[in-house]
Amino acid sequence: MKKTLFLTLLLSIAFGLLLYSCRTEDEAVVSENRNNTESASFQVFKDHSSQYARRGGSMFYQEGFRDLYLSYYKDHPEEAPDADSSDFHIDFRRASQVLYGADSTRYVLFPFMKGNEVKYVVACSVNNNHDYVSFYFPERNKMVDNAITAFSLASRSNAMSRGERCGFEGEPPCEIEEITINGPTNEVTPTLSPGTPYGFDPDYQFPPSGGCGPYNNCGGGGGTPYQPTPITPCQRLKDQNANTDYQAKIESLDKNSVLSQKKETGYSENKSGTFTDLEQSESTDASDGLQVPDSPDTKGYIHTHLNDYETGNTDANGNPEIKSPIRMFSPADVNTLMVLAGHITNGDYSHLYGTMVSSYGNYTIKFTGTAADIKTGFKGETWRKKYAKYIEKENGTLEAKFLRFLKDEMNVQGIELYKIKSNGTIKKKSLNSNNNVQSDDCPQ
Amino acid sequence: MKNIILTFIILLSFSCKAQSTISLEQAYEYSKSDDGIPETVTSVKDINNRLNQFVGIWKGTYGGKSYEFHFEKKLNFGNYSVKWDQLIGRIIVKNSSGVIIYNNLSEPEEDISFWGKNFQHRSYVMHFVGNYDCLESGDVFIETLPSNPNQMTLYYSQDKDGLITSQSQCPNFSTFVSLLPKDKMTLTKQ
Repeated sequence: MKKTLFLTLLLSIAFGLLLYSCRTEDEAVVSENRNNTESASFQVFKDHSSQYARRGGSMFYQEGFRDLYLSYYKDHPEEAPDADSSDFHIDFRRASQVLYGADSTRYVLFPFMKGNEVKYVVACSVNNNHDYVSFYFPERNKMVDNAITAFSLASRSNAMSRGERCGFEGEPPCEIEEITINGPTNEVTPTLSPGTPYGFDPDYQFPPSGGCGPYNNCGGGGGTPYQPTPITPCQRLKDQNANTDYQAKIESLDKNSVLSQKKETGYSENKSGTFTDLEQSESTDASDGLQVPDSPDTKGYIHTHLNDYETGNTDANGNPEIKSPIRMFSPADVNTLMVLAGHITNGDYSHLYGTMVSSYGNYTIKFTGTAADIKTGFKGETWRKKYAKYIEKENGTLEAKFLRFLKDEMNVQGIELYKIKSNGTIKKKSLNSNNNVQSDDCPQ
Repeated sequence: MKNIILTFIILLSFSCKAQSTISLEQAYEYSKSDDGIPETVTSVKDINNRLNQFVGIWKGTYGGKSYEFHFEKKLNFGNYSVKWDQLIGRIIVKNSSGVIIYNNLSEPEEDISFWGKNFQHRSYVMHFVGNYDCLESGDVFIETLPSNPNQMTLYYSQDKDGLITSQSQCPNFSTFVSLLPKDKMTLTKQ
């Protein structure tokens, strides 16, 4: 009996120990998982209040990539590119804006230099979990070309002589200036697959692609997924003004020989920054118009509204008869912008635009509302009649009539009107509490 | 004396602020400017009674179609900041087989598709909006003949500011023909 009791007790203890060890093992697994999650992401990208976000987080990712690159080679000097035997280096004083991929991967481009010349760009990327980074040469495309051009312009105005490189030991720290690259926008998947620089082979090594271990930079807790802040219309329009491709299109339209034609002309722009002639409908006796591609890839359009022109007929006294087109956006123009907004899925509409070039001035409409503000259906007969009558019958300027029609008749929210002058001044036009037009300068 | 001057100034300031009336001919001059009709103007009148010559029913044929126009004169018309003396037009069009292809005789005047604007020299300028999916919208110039006020000419001038966003909006866009002729047609008063 005693023996049985002792055996039972022993078995109970053994079973208890077994249970405890299983529980401990479970906890260990959980604990290890937690450690894995925490250690997998980069400390440098942990949050905007980290030591790396030295300027209020405005260059958070740019500074993060720079610091990872520099600290890796500080820890692994034997792997560092041989700066003395070639003039190739990365200029960490300038970087692109942050570009967002479809999977929320963040990309930043830095200029890749040979001496004082921008030879190419280096792409840096980090995935949405902030646990995988890459440094590489991207495949050459229009966006890369735009970046090279933008960096070249910036470096020409402030050349850095050899020996003034920054960041490495014995060199001054790098202050980063953001250079806006034309073409890419927040919701566009940048085409930045790894590739070979065009025209030369720099044989340049980068820090390893992968996790935070080799960088000795683990410890980020994953953090809150970063939501890009939409850029203001003023900033977008300022960038657009600085875009040489866009300016060339405006200049090609903004001249008497074009505005005096009897047909509208214009361009659409896709999200890669490529402009395409708006298709002119086949000329018939009665119909005339431009076709704007209704595509998720369309970013905006530029078109002309014509000067007064003769109809080709005269009255019985021989007076030529004149038509005066409405040199302001129409409900159909607003409709077109809204249709483009309907394709956006991430809530950032800031890159979309509709531009009108006319002798009355050049204007751009932007959509600053939310998905709930997207209203279409303004292109048919009813709206044409309403608008044509409104413009003809109401008193006041075209700006005032357009803004009042938007508010009182179309009842749309989030369409903003901007006048862009040839000297680059941008004015927001809106209605004040007295229903009169108010002009506000965009910050320079 | 001082009081008289003060009264004069006050009256003058009132007159500057006063709501004013312009003619249909002046309205044309303002329409050429992008600044439009001044906000002080609240009425455009047919001061010279030139609209009356068009009032009535007019018939004519063009391109194998027969046209019948009904012009009506309205005074102080519309719910706009400016009240207008203007014509409104109603149209019946039949094809060569006598089939009615357009008829807006019963269209409410507030939604009218054919309305008058202003006088440009001898012609009264109207506006017609038809199938706007195919961008049919344009000015219509009407003018009675100096030699015979019971006849007038009419033609349509297509607007050039349309945008199309999809092929399906107007599948036959390239071959679309507007309802009203681009060349002058002659109409006879009934």
